[in-house]
Amino acid sequence: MPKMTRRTFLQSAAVAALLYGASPSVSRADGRRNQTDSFGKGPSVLKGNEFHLTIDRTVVNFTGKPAIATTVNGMMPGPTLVWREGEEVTIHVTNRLDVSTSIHWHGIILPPEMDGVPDISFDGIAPGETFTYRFTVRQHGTYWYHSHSGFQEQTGLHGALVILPKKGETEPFEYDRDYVVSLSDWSDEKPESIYRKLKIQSDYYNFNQRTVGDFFHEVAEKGFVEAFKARKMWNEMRMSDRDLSDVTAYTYTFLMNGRNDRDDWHALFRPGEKVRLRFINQSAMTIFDVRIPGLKMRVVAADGNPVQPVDVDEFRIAVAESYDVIVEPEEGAYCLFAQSIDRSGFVGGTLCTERGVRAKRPPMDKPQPLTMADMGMGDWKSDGRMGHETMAMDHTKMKMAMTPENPWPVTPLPMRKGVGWTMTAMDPRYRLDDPGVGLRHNGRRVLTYADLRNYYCTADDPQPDREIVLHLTGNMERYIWSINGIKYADAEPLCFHYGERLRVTFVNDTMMPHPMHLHGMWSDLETGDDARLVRKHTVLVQPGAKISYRVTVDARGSWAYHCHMLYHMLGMFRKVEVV
Amino acid sequence: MKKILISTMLAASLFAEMNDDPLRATLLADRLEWQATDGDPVAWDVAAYAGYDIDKLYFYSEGSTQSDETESENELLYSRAVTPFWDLQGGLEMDTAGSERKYWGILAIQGLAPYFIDTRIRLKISDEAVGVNFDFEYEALLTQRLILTPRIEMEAYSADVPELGIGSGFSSLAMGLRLRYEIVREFAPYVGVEYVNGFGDTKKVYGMKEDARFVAGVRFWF
Ligand SMILES: [Cu+2]
Repeated sequence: MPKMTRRTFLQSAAVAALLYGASPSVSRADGRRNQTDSFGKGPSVLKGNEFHLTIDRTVVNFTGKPAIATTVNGMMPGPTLVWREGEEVTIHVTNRLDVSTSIHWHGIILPPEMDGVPDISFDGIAPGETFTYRFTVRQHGTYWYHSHSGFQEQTGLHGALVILPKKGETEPFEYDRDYVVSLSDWSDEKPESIYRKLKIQSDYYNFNQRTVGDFFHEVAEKGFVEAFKARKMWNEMRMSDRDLSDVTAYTYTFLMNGRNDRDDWHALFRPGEKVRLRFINQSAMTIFDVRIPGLKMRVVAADGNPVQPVDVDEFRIAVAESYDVIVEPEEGAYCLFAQSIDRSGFVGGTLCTERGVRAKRPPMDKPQPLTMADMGMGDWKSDGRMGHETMAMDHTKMKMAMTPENPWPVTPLPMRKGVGWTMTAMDPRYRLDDPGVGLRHNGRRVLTYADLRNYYCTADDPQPDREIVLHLTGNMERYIWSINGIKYADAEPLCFHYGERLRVTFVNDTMMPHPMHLHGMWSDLETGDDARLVRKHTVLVQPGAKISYRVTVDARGSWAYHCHMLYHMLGMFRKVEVV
Repeated sequence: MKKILISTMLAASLFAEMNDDPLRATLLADRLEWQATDGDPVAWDVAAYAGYDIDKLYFYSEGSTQSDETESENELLYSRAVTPFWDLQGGLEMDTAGSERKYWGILAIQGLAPYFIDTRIRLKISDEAVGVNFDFEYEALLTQRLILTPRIEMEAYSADVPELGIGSGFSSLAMGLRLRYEIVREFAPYVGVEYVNGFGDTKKVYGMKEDARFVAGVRFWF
């Protein structure tokens, strides 16, 4: 177990790169496939059963100005931890901050007291204290960890988890090299200051608003009356179709494995090799659209769990989600390109055969405005342009699967229509085949939830015993977020019954996408085929849409349930009691 | 009831470090300008608040100084969010005109009307008169940072208020058009025009004249 010196000052991103770039080990063509990893050696990757992590403040520089990050073993992101399924891991986390801290193992099935959520799972880790996590690892795949205290996640406290299958077992796909690709958003501003600005002026960071010019453009296109009518709904609701992201590249620098675009994170390959890329969105607030121009990506796992392979050009990765893809690059240099959902910025990295090559960045896409579908008014294709025929087919199939003949009883939950609830989606639909705003009709094959099928058969999973409906609600003007109109501070815990199979339906009554994350239990997402429910820990609920998943309530105790957008989470949060 | 109270208290103590609704205070100088007319007036329109999502304490001040004579309206109000877009406000207003002072009780609604019109409607009540004040403002984005703001303010009173030079009935109208450039969100210089006119006795007896003037100033907040 390599012990870190207590402080490693990262004087510049360049130094940082040396420290935690996934120093690609020149390969081992020993023929033993599916075991090779390239996430590196040294302090940036820690393997084994026992780990010592120290949380501290460290100077970083991503923007040209030094700033203070919250780091693990002096690194940001923290070291990649490599575990093995079936083994017990022990993690000693020492807090050298002057405030309480915590580490939550995102997506990991474990006892509630090891989950790392202050005031729900444990008391948090007080300054100067060491907390020891110990549990047996019951899964494998790509996961991550992060602080659940204050805004520490935004200031750098997050890192990747790679869990290898049990000794002697393999994953249902092959590859020659293995890289973690963590995406994150860094700001030199204090998170408290970002949050305050959003409360005072919620569009503070939005520099992609509708202008008078846009309106006259529409007038020229369809005449004044039609253009005015088209705006009517938005104007009456006092909402903007450009409300794509609360916090943008105006303050954010986007990072790939802790490096900004200029410092270009590199991954090496040899022509003909299969390269596994474990994309993890470790951002506080940024949803990324990821593609590698010139390469097809075969998506093989979602949120750590294998799916039926699907070849795509591009995928959207919400905060806290992970996708494992396999690519087979030929000679040359390829850009791993991640642009933010609002197209305010991007970060690129390079996949190449030799060091020192920088792949050319493609231009960012133009931002697309939200449509009526994103306001919960009908289908996403109702903008007049039809999708591909295959999509239309998928859609009918889905409708059938989505309308169960014997609906299960719905447990009523308290709701509060008040100041914090601006909009109600009038006709929310399951839009699983909708790639989402910004990715529609872009000519590329974009992954949607409708493409995801569990690798394993789920036909034997029990049918739901009951259903709960949770409305994701908010007031963008006042920057208030809640569930069912009730923010966390005023909410009673949700009660799940041990042993039951629960169906959860989310209705998004806001114009923002919300990645909803349930701790301690899996979310088995309905994507159109009951025999292939997709096992996820974080599910993106699109604006104005609904989505359903099933939960086998097999973990007693108290758990957190929340939106993973950091500045939404404060209100859009529930405590779950499994009794 | 008791159960709800206890659970609310518990929930509030959870996440002690992550308060969704922290106390905040801000001051917005929407207008701070020089006006090109006789007496070189300097005018201001400032709003400050401290509080939470639902409850706030507001201070407003609007006025001008012209040829060493200062006129102002100053309000101190409790403001409560009552619907997603509207706040209900109540408190006290002190108006000044030179050395004169006049106090009012205030009831107001403030918020964002459909079509993104910033709206504030004030009912002013004193022992002698009742007044209403309408204030509407719209922000038209020419670019992401160049913003044109038309604004209109109207006043009417039930009776003469001689201390303030106001006649009964529809008393005054102010219309402005300002073009600002947001160097950062918090700081924007602007230029514009302002048109004012008095009606009825406000014009005839108290001498408020029709006037259109060029203005230049800054808008800032922190
Ligand atoms: Cu959210």
